Amino acid sequence: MKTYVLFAFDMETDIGSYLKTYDGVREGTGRILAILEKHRVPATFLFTGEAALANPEAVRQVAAAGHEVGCHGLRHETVGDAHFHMPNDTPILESEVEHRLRMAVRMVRDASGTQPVTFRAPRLWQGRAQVRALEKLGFQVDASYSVAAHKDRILPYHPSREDWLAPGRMRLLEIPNFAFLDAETDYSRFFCGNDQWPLLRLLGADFVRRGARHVVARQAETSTVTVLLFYLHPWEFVPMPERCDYDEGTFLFKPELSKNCGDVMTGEFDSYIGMCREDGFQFTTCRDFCRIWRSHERKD
Amino acid sequence: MRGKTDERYLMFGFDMETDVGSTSRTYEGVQHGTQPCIDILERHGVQATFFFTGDCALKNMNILDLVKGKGFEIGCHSMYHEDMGEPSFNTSSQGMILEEEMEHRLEMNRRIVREATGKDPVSFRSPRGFGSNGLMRTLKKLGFSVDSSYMQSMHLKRNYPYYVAEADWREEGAGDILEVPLFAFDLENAADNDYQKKLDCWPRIRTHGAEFVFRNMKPVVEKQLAEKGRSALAFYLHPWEFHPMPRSIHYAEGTLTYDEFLYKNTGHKQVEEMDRFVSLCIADGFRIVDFRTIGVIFERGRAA
Repeated sequence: MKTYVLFAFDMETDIGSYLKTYDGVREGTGRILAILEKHRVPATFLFTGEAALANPEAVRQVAAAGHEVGCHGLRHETVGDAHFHMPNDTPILESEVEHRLRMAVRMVRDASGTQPVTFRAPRLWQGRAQVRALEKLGFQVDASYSVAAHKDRILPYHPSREDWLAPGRMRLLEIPNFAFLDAETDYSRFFCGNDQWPLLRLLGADFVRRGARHVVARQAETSTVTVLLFYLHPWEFVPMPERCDYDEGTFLFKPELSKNCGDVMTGEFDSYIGMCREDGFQFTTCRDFCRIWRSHERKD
Repeated sequence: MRGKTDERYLMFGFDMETDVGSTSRTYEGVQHGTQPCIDILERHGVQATFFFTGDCALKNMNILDLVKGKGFEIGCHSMYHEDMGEPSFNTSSQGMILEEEMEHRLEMNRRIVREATGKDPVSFRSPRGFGSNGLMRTLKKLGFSVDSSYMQSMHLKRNYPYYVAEADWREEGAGDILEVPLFAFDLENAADNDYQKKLDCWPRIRTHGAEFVFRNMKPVVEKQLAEKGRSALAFYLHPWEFHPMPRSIHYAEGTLTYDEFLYKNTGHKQVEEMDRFVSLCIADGFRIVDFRTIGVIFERGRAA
């Protein structure tokens, strides 16, 4: 049995959809790259088209260090199945998905010099139209499935064209973002329930290490290849504000959004990589994991 | 051609949308605030235009039928109250829709209103008053003839209706769209204009009261009469102003607290002030018409 750890960073505006700044991409990326280099660990960086356009230097740094550069939408727009109501967020129409995706791919490719093959939907709100568009545009991996939100699938699968949440015959590989599955902890008290995020930042490396063992064990019941896909953000590696003023009011974020952003998160991420090494886990990119999984499928 | 000096027009446009603009998914204002608006308009026997988003129309067909049944003009206000065109202030929104996405969305809006009313809508207002040359081209293509999106408080220059120039929608030209600006008060102070809290006509009927608005719009009217021989001032209002609105909303990732001007005096106070304002205007001899009608009046002037 082999366990792969995939770190995939969503390269977007600060605190996702709320701020219009790129402090995380500009200052957090260097911190992440330094830790990855120290441990000689590859990772995946998923840029929105606009983030790539606005931060070409960050894209070049990531690509020059040998990491995978993928895509995270054009403007962090949501397209599909919302997990909750967000003020001032209206999903784009299905008919608009492919055009925006093409624009995003072009921007990311122009900045990185390579064709992106991995995608993640902003907020993990994936939808049928976008999954189909990804297949059409030659993407190999969609890293959007949230185990916390959708529950059913804990291992990678090829989605159905009709229902992306169900296994089917698409070439695209859906890799689930894991959620904690043990009964020892009452996850309902957390901000995002049993979702992995943002518990590395809030509760630290030890907590995640313990919880992840259960996840791996559960996957190992049916598969000899197991995988822990993380979603993280560069803005978690620099201090973030607790509120945002704009011209009609003020957002007061739940503390979980900004707590421990900066040095604490940087330290926990560093520690966690060390623990994964001790546990014998291997590190790879989403793109390379896709190859591993395909060859594993052929063997079965 | 100059009109007569008693040609003083006021237009009221109600933006039929989710509560407090784009921040919520609810239609409490549309459901409970529309009837009070209609009562006021009927009591004084005046016209108005109700600009429906496509989504609002689909989800509140009872209200659209009510408005239609009373014979008021029904115009369009985009599909989902999306931001489009050129932003003139910092919203909390995800970002504008792309220029190439505009036509399809406005066509959806137009078709929904067309099917519900049996008439082709002619009047449009853009969410948040964000306009662009592309928006004007799209409106023309879809058969609209009147737009009321230009905000004098933002663009500073105009408060009198004008036909847009193709090269720049904010300038007067030979285009087919009549732009009916949303007026601002005394522009002498425009240098320290702080969006809609100082000069914009909205939301002062609610926040400052009928007398204040009536008194302060007079210099604007007089200036138009002196320069154009006719006056025409447009107001924008929302049914959610006629129903109490919350100070904040809670959601999964935090709390959105509105600035006071958004919720202050929503409900009864706004109903009273609006009624009072219409009374004052009628007693003073203003003619209150809908946007379609002001379009016809200006078209007639243009032909002459």
